[in-house]
Amino acid sequence: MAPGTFLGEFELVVLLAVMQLGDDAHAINLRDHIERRAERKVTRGALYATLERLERKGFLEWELDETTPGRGGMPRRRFFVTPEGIQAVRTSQTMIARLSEGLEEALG
Amino acid sequence: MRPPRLPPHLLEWVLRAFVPPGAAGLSIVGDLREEFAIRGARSHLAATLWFAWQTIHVSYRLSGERRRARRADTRTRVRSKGEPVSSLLRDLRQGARSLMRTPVYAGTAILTLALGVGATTAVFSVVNGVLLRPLPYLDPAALVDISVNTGGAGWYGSSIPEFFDYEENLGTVGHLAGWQTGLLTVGDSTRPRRIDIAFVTQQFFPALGVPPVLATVLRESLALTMLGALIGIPAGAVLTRATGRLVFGVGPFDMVSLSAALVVLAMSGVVSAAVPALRASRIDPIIALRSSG
Repeated sequence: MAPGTFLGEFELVVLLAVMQLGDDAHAINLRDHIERRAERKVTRGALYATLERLERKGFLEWELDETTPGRGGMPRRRFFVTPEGIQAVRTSQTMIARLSEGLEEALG
Repeated sequence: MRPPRLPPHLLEWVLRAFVPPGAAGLSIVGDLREEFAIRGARSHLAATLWFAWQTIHVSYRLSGERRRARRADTRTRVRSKGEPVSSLLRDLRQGARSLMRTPVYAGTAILTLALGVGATTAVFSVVNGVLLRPLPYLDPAALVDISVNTGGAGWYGSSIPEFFDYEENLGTVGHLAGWQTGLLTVGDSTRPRRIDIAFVTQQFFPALGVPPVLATVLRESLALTMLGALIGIPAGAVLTRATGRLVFGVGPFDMVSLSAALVVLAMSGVVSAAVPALRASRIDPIIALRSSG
């Protein structure tokens, strides 16, 4: 695997949330979704920084979506995971599955 | 329908300086605008404070992310661990990050420090005012002494005609006062006591600024109290958020509570200043002069 293609924990969380939300994967929804499903606090700063990093790594892309009245004319991005991103998630999960083998008793 | 209120221009301008260029950056501004509009419907002040905090935090994280990306791109991963400057910067950055992660805790710590510094300063002010510098002059640094030199050695006091000349022609002083010291024997022949006395002209006490001392102390105290309120109320707002679950039915921006706190603060400031101020104003100027010896 080339360097820079491993996923950090929060990067994995964000990619999974983008995949789960599908057409609703806007930044505000992503934050709410992660806070609800992962039960952890997510700051907007951390989310935007991670989205930018994932985009740079080529795991994430975005397109402009319809804007909403509260935004004062500002654009709205909808994110989606690239095939490379999906591959990275798969690799990450395989790695965790392999490393968890034989630990069923300890991990419950 | 009324269009939603937008965040303050200045804050948005700062935020735009840090977000990525183009639509990506504008969409981040848009996200925050959208949340600002929802929060602003409840309380504009709270929404503005929230937006200010988000501006700082998002700008900080995005610029950090960009810095990391630049380092990775150029492959200049030279970690100069031995250099004191870079390790100091790293420490500062780490400190700032951990404070930003826990704003309530950081606010409480900063407030505790501020209270400690404030209390120490207040105690020192009292010691300094009551013990170290008991002279109740309005402005000791502005007092000047006029002496005469006639060409030879030594300096002398002015004569009475010279004093009248000064009074007529000297425009650079606020008050001009003349005095002559002497000795006086008081008591009876079995227990005589000699005391220092001074004959002074009419402007002597105004020149020393003795009568307005009460007003001065009160004014300074009120100014200090107001400064305290200016720092204390935003800090209080943060603390109220933290203790929100304990205080039933009081929000951090409850106007009645804030006004009441301000009035109580101002009153306690005036009362606590009035006692030393009255005492200072009652000091006999002659005694004050003697202790200046």
